[in-house]
Amino acid sequence: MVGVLDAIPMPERDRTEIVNVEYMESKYPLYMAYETKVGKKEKYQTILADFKEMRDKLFDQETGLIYDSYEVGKDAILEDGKFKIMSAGYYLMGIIDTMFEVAEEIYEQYRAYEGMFKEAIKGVLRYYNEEEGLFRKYILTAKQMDMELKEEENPIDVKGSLMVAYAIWKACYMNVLLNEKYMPIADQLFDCARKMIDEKKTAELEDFYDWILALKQETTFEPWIDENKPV
Amino acid sequence: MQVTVIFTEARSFTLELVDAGIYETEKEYEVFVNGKSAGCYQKVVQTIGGLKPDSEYRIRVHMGEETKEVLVKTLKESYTLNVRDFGALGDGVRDDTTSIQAAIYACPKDGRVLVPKGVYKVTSLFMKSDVRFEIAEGAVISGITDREKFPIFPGMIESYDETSEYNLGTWEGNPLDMFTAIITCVNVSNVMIYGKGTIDGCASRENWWNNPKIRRGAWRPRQIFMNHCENMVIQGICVKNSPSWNIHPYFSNHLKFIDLQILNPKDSPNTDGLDPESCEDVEIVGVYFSLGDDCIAIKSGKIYMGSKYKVPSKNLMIRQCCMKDGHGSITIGSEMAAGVLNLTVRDCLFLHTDRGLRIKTRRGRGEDAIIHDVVFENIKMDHVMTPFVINSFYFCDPDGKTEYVRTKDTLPIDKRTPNIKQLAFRNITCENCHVAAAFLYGLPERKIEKVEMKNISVRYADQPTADVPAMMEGVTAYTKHGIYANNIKTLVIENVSVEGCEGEAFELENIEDLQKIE
Repeated sequence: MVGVLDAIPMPERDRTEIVNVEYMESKYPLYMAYETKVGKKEKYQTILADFKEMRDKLFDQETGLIYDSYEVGKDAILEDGKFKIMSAGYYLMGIIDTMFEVAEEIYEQYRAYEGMFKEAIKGVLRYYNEEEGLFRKYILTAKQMDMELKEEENPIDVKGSLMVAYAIWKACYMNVLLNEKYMPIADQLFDCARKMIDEKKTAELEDFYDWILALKQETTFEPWIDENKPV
Repeated sequence: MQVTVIFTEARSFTLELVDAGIYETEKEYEVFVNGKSAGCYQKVVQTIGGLKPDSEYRIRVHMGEETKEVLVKTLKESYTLNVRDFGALGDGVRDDTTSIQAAIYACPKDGRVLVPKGVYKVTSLFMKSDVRFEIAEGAVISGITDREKFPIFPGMIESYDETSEYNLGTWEGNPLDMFTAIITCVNVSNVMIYGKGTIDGCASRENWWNNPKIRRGAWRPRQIFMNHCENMVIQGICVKNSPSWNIHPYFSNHLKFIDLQILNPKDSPNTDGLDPESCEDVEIVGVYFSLGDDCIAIKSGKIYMGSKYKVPSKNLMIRQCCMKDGHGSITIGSEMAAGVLNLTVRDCLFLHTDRGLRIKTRRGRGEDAIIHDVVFENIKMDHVMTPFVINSFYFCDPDGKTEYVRTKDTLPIDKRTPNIKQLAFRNITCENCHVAAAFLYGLPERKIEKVEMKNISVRYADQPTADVPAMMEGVTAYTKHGIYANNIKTLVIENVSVEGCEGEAFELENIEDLQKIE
């Protein structure tokens, strides 16, 4: 939950700039929180229009995976020619964290975000290997299966996996996804990530894990005293 | 004078005197049951009790020189389940919910659950099909006000295969979590809730009406909520002090609301009287309203529910009702995204309400939000601030005060644009009007198709109170304005008199076809 002091008003977007998928997660939840708590929802329609544009450009309908960025008027970009789990992670987190700030009375918009989230989560989960437990850096599509990438070229990606895990966990918490069906996947991702971090013992991964945990903490609210819940 | 029997159960019947007055008869009349006087009355719609099940009665109605006779046969009844026998105390202290619920659960077909005199504290009672639930004279179903004790109906539940959704809860046109109603009916049919008793929600500013716009746990409960129900009758009872809307039938059909009293303080928040939402075949007869919001508000959901399920409210008949105090006597909207079709309101009294007929809509309600075939006739209004209001710029919802909703410029017609088609107002007198005779404002991009005003007279109060004629941006408070109409394709004005207004009696803009007949 974004507090009033952290919420920021949405600036006019420069339509010539390159839109990176990270922007969805880093900015839009704050813009939405501002609109809900301060801005009288004036820009709800604008934010939704932005998400629809980002969805149209970044979500690949054929593979169900997410591009890295796009420039208005041009094709979306895959920097390394391959879809990344981190891009899916940012995309999913961007939608679910923004959704969390939406006033539920603007229900049709809430459901529009939900639709985008569900198609993307189903897309990425098509490639989830339960035996490996975590996603790899690059998600190879059916057409790319011939690529023989070495371990160091396509390592396990703990961060991207954690981002997807968080997005699933939050969606289950919000009843956007069915708890029974999807929470076990989030649990497995979190468990495997924890084991990997314990093995690797790197500060960077530990910090990232803590950040995800903190985001989970901020999501929780008391059901009977939910003045903090967006209205 | 004609006498018809409009409702019969095992121990009472309700009669309606046709062409004998509006809500009240012009003269007192006496009712005889098998030759014995059952009292003198002056309501057009009157319930007579004290009968026995499965019996025939000769009913005579005597008014002045006229006498009319009808035959009544009361319904059969299988068993009476007295809630006291199930452990309910009715002492106004103990929570009697489970005892009364046990009686409802166990009630056989054609049986009656009887709540005898006493005060029964409850949270929510859940009906099942084929139950007659009688709240007897002196009995009060009294709502507990601790929200932590109430169950919650989730708004939407998704199926395991993720292909369908199940809607239980609703709040202001959206499928959202709500506390269950004092009397809750889901997927049931053939239920009667009747009697001379009371359902009292016990709401006040110390509980449900404290911070009413904030969701705490879930949205506020109604007094009676029907979700996907059929053949339901509510008759005779008094419903008062509701936490939010009083009676809320939702996606339900073949409903009758007869000879009721629905009461809430004038300043109580969102306490609409009776809000049929996406309902078909609804009859509201002989109901007295006095409350803090719209008396009757006919709805069909906001844009998600309206555009997905496309279930309008249609075939509604409202007659012989008295609306006293409240915002709109009869309101359509604001949540009407699936439309409202074929509504007739006749022989009603509107007293001291802000508006008589009130249509609230706005851009964003959607292309299925069609209002069509609305007829108001034979209505008496007294001290109604503005008798006729059509507001296409209603500034409701969190985005209600955005440029999109408020602009009077022509916008492109798109999937979000609502539609008002044909409305007729006939034989209506409006005494002691305060603000304006009428305020009819359509959208520039999709004008109101046709408004007919025939045999209407408007006169103003000696000391009118100023107010805005409609809740939209850019309108100021004033008094004694005439008829304002803007953005209408065909406007028929026949024998319409507006006496004593300040300024022009008719202020008309953007009317494509004006037919003025003296």
